[in-house]
Amino acid sequence: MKLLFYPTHPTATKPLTPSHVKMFLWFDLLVDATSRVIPVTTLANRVTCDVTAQNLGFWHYLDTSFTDDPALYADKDELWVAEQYVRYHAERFAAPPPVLEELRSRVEHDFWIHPASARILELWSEQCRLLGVDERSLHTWTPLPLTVDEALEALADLDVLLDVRGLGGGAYLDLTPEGIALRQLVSEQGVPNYVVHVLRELLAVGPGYDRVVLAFDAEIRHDFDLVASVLRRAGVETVTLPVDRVRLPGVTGTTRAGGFEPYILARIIERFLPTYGLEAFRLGIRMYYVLHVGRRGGCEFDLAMLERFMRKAAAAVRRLNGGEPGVAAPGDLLRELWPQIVPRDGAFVDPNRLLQTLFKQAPESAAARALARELLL
Amino acid sequence: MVEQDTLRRLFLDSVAARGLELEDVAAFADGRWQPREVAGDTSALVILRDYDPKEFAQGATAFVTGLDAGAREAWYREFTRTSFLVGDPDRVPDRLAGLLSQRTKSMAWVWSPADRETLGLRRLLKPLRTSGPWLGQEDAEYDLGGGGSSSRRALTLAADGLSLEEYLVHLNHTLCECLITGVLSPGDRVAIRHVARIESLPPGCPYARVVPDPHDTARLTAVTCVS
Repeated sequence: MKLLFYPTHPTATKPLTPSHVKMFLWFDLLVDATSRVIPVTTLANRVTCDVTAQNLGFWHYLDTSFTDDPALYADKDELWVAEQYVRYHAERFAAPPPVLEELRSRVEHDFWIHPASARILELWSEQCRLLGVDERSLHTWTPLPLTVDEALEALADLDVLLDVRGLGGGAYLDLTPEGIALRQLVSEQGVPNYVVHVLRELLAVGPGYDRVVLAFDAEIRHDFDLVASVLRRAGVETVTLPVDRVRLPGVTGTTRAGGFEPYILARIIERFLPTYGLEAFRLGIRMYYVLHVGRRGGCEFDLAMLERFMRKAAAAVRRLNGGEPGVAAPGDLLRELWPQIVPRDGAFVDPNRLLQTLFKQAPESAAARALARELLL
Repeated sequence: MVEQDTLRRLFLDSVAARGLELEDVAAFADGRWQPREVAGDTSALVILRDYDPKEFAQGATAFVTGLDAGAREAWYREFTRTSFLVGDPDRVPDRLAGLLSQRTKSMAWVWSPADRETLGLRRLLKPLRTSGPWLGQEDAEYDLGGGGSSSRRALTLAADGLSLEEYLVHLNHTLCECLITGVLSPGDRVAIRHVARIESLPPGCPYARVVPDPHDTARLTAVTCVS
């Protein structure tokens, strides 16, 4: 079984919020554990993430409101960039379609990133290293294998395209025989949206794998259900893995409206890492998001609860390290645990089941303790 | 240029013919015309996968002639309100396909006595939206495809700068209202001619579509006329 893991990534326009941290931790643990048993390829591409009209429009907003000179952004922090992002939405700034297409071309062909977002990625990388997640995907740019027209042709071949561009209109994903509403893919002005760019990658790459796992923010579930439908039509076995957002105390709406500042990862690191140390911080934050918050459900972020998990983690680290901190995990332990840690329809490890199983076995099993150290600390 | 007094008279006559008052359809305040949404939700939907002018003219004719007298009267009273949707009529799921009352190769017409009765279709499909002026206008003659007596009629349409959806709104209202009022018969042949502006109306003009000028709302303008 060859698995392709396709996670969505946040655009580099804001600090990492609890919702982002939750996704990073869930995805990182899922891939790390699963790849020890079956081959897993993670397809994370900044190009797909950055070519959305929303993101490119923000970059143009920065250029027109400030400058495109990198020097201005070199010492800016995440909150400054986020403040501009909130303004961009509040002002309903709309970049002209030709500008969006020009910027898209720069991203796709030159792997260009706006200096403000480059600065954000620099800060995110540092935070992800402390969090203990693989941050290489933040810095991966790959050409999209299909052009927009090739992707639309592929959709036409699958009999799921309504193309009225000849009349000056747009192009739509057409699953109406299944009672699913038309989904616009290309605007009347010729601007393709992110669904097209996702399909440009997955229609080409997906067929090379036994199964594709689409992992995404549950807010965009409808679009990824559509992507999954298209892939299945193309003969690709596809599973969707939506992850619910974490609500923030006193905040409604998305990060476009602000209000997340006290809960960003940088603040969480400042608050807990010096007190508890790196290993307890990493274990505690994983226990909180995987065991307490869970993948689904609208749990509200709770700093007091997170601290409780940090304290539990500090004690657990001492027990996990015990007298054998240098012992490596046996290679076949995950294979033995597979039936307990993989969901019924899954070919991948469920992080919640994994942690519960490891913590249950850890008191009596040096192998389980070693595996927990490798995966969680 | 057509005199504003003439256009105003035609506009008011059109309102009165529907049993309405001027204030039901527009206000004229501070020297500006302000259109109002006519009360009611009787309408037609036109679903387009593609556009062909002959197919459209014949499809619209068959749709109007297929409505009973009560439906035509109600629709006429509400200014033949019509929504244009993009979609493939061949792919409408069975549970909604029964709503399609008239089909052509790439279009379908739907009678909607109330919005709630066609809500499923309007949620499934998308409003027709295009970018830039519609450049597919061609002067041509079409048989409306219905039976009965046959005359040749001229339909002039001021099409300068119109998007496809704007163009269809004017053409559709003109064809359908003329069929309802008898200015056109289903067996007629219609010569459609496109101009930048309608500078004069034919003598005894039996129909003109008069609307507030979008470029100068102090004025009315004729966007179509039939002779």
